Amino acid sequence: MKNFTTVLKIAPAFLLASTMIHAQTKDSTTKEKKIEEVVLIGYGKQKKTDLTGSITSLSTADFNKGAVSTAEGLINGRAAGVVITQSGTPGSEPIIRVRGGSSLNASNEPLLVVDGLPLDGVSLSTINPNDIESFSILKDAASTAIYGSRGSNGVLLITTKKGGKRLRVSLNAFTTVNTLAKKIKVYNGDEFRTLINQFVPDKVSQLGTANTDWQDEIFKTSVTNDINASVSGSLFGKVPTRFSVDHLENSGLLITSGFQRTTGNIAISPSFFDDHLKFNITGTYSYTFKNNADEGAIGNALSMNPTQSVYDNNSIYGDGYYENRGGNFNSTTGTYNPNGVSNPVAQLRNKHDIQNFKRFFGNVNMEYKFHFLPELKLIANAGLDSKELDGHVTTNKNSRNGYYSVANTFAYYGSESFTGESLLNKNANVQLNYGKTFGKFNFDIMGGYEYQNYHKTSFDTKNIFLYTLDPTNNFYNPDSKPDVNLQAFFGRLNLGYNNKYLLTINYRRDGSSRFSKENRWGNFGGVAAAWKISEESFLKGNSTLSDLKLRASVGKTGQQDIGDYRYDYFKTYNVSSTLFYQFGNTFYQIAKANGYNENLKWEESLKYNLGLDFGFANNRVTGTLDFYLADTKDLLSVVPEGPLENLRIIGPKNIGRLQSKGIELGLDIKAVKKENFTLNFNYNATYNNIKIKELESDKIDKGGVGLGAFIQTFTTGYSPYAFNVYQQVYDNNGKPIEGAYVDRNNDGVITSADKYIYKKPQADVTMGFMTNATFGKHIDFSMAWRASIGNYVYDQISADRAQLGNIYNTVDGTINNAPVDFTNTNFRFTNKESDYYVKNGSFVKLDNVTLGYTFNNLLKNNGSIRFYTGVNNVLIITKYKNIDPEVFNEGRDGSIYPRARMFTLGINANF
Amino acid sequence: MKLNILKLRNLAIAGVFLLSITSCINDLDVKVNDDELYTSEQFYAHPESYKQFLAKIYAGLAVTGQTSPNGNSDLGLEVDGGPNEGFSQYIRGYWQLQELTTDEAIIAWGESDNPGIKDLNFNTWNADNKFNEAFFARIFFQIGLVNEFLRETTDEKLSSRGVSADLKAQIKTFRAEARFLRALSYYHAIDIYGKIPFSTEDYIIGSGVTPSVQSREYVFNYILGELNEIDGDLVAAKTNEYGRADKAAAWMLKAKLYQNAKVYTGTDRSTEALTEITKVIGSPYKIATIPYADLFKADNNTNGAQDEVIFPINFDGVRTKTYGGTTFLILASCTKPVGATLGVNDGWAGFRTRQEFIQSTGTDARVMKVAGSTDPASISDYAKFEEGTKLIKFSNKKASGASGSDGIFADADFALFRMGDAYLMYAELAIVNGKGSTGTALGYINTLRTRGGATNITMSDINALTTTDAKEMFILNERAKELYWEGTRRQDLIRLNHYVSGYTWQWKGGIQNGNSIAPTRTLFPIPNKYLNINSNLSQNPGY
Repeated sequence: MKNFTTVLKIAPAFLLASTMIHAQTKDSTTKEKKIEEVVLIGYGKQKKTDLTGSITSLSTADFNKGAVSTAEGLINGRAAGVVITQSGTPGSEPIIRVRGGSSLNASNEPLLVVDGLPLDGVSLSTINPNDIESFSILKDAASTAIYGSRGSNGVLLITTKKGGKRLRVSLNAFTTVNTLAKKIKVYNGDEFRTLINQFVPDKVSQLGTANTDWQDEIFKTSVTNDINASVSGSLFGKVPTRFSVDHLENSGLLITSGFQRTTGNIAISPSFFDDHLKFNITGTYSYTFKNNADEGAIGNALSMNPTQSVYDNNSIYGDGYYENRGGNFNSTTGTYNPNGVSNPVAQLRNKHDIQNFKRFFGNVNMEYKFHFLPELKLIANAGLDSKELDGHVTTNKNSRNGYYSVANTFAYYGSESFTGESLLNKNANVQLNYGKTFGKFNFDIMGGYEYQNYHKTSFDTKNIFLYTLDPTNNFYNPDSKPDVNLQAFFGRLNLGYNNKYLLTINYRRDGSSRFSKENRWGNFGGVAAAWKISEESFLKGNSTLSDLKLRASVGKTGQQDIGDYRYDYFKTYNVSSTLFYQFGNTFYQIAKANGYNENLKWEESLKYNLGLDFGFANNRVTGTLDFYLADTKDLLSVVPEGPLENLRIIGPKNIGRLQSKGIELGLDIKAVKKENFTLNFNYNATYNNIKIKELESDKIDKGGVGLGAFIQTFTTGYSPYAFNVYQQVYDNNGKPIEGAYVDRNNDGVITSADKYIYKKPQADVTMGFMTNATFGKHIDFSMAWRASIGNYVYDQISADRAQLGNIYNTVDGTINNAPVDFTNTNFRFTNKESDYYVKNGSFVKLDNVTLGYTFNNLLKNNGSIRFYTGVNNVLIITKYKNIDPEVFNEGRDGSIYPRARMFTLGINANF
Repeated sequence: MKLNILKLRNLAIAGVFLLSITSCINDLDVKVNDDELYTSEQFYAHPESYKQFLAKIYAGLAVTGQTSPNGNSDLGLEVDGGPNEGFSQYIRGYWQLQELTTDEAIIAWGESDNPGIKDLNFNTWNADNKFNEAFFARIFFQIGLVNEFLRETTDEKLSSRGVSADLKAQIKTFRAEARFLRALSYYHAIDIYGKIPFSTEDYIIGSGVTPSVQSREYVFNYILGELNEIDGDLVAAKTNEYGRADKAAAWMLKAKLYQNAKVYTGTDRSTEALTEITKVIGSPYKIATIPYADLFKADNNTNGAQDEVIFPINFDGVRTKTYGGTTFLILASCTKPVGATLGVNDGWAGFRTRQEFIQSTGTDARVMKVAGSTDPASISDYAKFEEGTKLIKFSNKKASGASGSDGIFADADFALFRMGDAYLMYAELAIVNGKGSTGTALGYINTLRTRGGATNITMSDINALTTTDAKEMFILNERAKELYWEGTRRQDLIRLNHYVSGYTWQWKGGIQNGNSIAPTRTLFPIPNKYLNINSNLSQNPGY
């Protein structure tokens, strides 16, 4: 014991590894026992065959193959009912929706639990995918209600790899070459010259002679490298331990972006007193270094005048780059005031934006089997998740953005700012568990308490040069918002009879600091039952229908996470530190009473699930089929408040009802199972329909696209964020007539009453398909497809830019490029609320193709090396014209960081 | 032995566990510890908080949120359904509805950046107009803030917080000023919308009760009642700190209500209007003996203009910044080169005047045209800023010629009430309504003309006005020359019967030569957005 801790304290990684190798020599003959598959459930685990709820479990064999550098990349497309939208920005977090989510404005993020530690939000970017052993996705309320409030949108339980008795060393590395798969079509230099001559002849003087493709200028082909090593085994032959390190470098597609991540992960599982006391200690430390590229440059590359060169020998600001002049000469300074769109290359190159991100999360899990009553177990978890971010941004003073006016004086100031954020999420839970079998009955009862606290502080210095240039307006002002605190008491009872009939009852009482004392506590729970039909005598031993289980569940979950509204239930005051009002000769800080809602309470979802697990032909074909319905009431929504009702006009309220229903099908087919040829198919499909059933005040504007235009709505009977637009009128040639909309209510005038609901951003059906094959002993092949049908996208890229008001900006006098869609419309102004911009975003994507070759039986049958090559983001089949129909922002395609097409070469070595 | 140790340990674990749970439960109570965010208890523990809250109510007329100049809007985020923050500034909203709809101003901005603004130019707005919607939201936000101030400063609450007698006395005046500001906003609301949502400090937030809707006449009488009640608590005219309301401000507001009473209630109240305006004119405020242009300059809180300003809305290029207010009034009136002469280094090329305004004001020196401009007075396309006569009114230059404190954000204060206006209100009562003395009226008109460098008129000019129409047009003209772009034009045209018909201007009704408009256009519509939320509301006729 003493030795162990001392070693642990001093042992660096390699020492640890050598200790294990040393221990290994003494314990080499243990064989691994084949055990029945056990699935992680909330606060415990269960045999897969005994599950009563709707849970998808994915382990290494089910994961996506090829170059996967993110945790979510392992399972994207692999589980029915789970839609993952990954970002193209290196190191960004994905959006994950389980069964479409069940809230309007409250968070729709599922809860992530890593080795018993609930994380703060979806924060997967710092987790090394190589450390992940399995995912368990809890979908129905009977499975998630044990997590109470946080389980409302599903739960992703992640188990990391642990040490085993046998020594294993593995090395994985891959390199990918990342290319830009597609560009947004804008006019080239020659086309733009023609366009300006035709539409804005006054401004031909701003035309140059160049043909610059600004998108080519800001994007690059980049290389990603990932190397990972892990050692696992038993420390001193007794303590299962695993240690891994990983280093990832991905410089991203934008010329100035970069991302490096180094993670170290350790898992130690000592046990004492004849296994009566067991510990599972896990810890992950990651360090991420990011070069943030200014993504505003992507939009500017679409707008920047393509007839001008990137570089300019007589550059206005002395940085060597061309910038818009546009008749904007400042005679006082003898130079041009910043005007129009920035040169996107200069914008990227002149800004240096770095971020350090250090994260540690770890959990100590203790399980104690009472000596006097071994059926009784005390389980305790204590964990923390700490994130420290610091950022530093500098702007070249000899650049367009470095040249600005302070108190009436333009000069080359440059800028420098610092940001920081510190998050600490503490979690502890204790539970008592008692399980016993009496004859054909077996039961398992559990009760516990959980405490969780989220703390966050942040600061943003803004431009520190202004502290001295303009001290009254600029000073250091950190932000400290109140913590969010959650506590709960929970319990569960599992009953089984004769290995055929299963019943689960669970209950949770949840408290949240977001609600007043009166509304603070919510009661949640669920009941689930399962019938293993294949265990009945009439089916037992049947090899055609080899498995059949019927499951049914009903449960209630809650939601309290309404983002930044951390303290809305009581009255607060905001004292401005930047705005003052003058009385006499004194300026007084202005203080506002903030709006509040003391009646805020738990949002509640009632969820039903009916499922069937089946297996045919000795389980060569297995599958699950689930029907679900979730009915959420008292939705926590950010909605307009009537005049004089509150001290604001928009705020959170509990309003209305939302219903989500769907069907999920998952199939696993072992089509060919021969010695020298295997072929497996994995297919899943989900139909999901989500509708608002009730609202306090109907037709709430959403999807603000600027200046009072809204293109989405919350309306009873429709999906959240359904597109609410005018119906465009077209001429005989199919060209939209500007400003002409269908007078749908026939009142002779076009008003917002003529807007109609046209399509929605959510897909009706999503599918995933993967096939794995092995040929002989050496070759493996894998291919993963994903499809999304019925989702629509608002083409904000064209709506904003493809119009004359942008091509010739009368406010600043500059000319700008536009998406070629302008040729289809010739719009003079923006027509943002036209249904013309709502486009079909259905897609089929070939996400990945991988081919591998393995050398087996190395090092006396103890090792193998596999080489593989493949492509990610191979193919997108879609009608949608912009880069990618898979967008964020509830279906509004502003401009997104493009997802790269990646060509991979990799190696896995295991010993 | 081993077993005992374990038992003890179990007991200890259980004990610690129970203890920690009870102390943990308290963590569910939110603790606030920030230099900008306060709980009620923390906030009112500071004696200065009352005046800061009052400053916010005054600033409600000047700025749009809690972050300078933009970014933390009182009216929420645009993505959540809030109005554009810049559009929602009180004076900018009020001004656009009162001026762009008349001969005094037409804005060149396109629909891409300012969707719906051309409908203000054309008097063709509908109930979805974003500028109307933003102003509606702003005005009732402002009234709600006053209600809250009054709820939080009752004698009971002050006593329970142990507020000192001295501060209590000050708060009594604060309350009267807050009620004045509420009366002012209700006056703007009935002027623009007629019947309106209505509530006072008796309304309980979170009660779930939808605020009632009251008629124009009901609110009219309510405002008068309020102004009478607070008269004793407001300080004497011109004895308050600059920027804060006094008795004269309340009298001026009463005079405005009475003078427009026929429009608001159908009953002429010009006698009462005369009483109130006489009190205003008799107060220590006076016509400032400074060049007319200096009234609208960056230092108009100190250059002498402050003697004339009965109620200003204060702006400051450093500490009271907004994209509305005088910043908007200066930048939107000019191009960048003209902006340089006005002390700003930008120009938004927005509004200029229409040819009928130029025709009726002639060469009066108070109408300050941009020097050297050869732009035609007639406008063939509202979006062409190079068409139409450019005027100058507000400026970010000081009387000395030096520039204001910032190159974008203006220092100039906006005079919501000034003595020049009071003089012309008197003149109108005398000449149009036959109240008071035409001789005094002549003197007032000429005082303003003299100060502005225009030629005086004589009694025979007034006597020559024989028809009602001529008298109304005369006053409209005189007010245009003195008060153009000060936000009174629509109200003046309606009161003096020349808004709907009898006088047209280019693009009135949406056609170049102008056309009469429907009488229902004297009221703006209740924004559709709010009709949906408050079921007591119904739409104004014609929309």
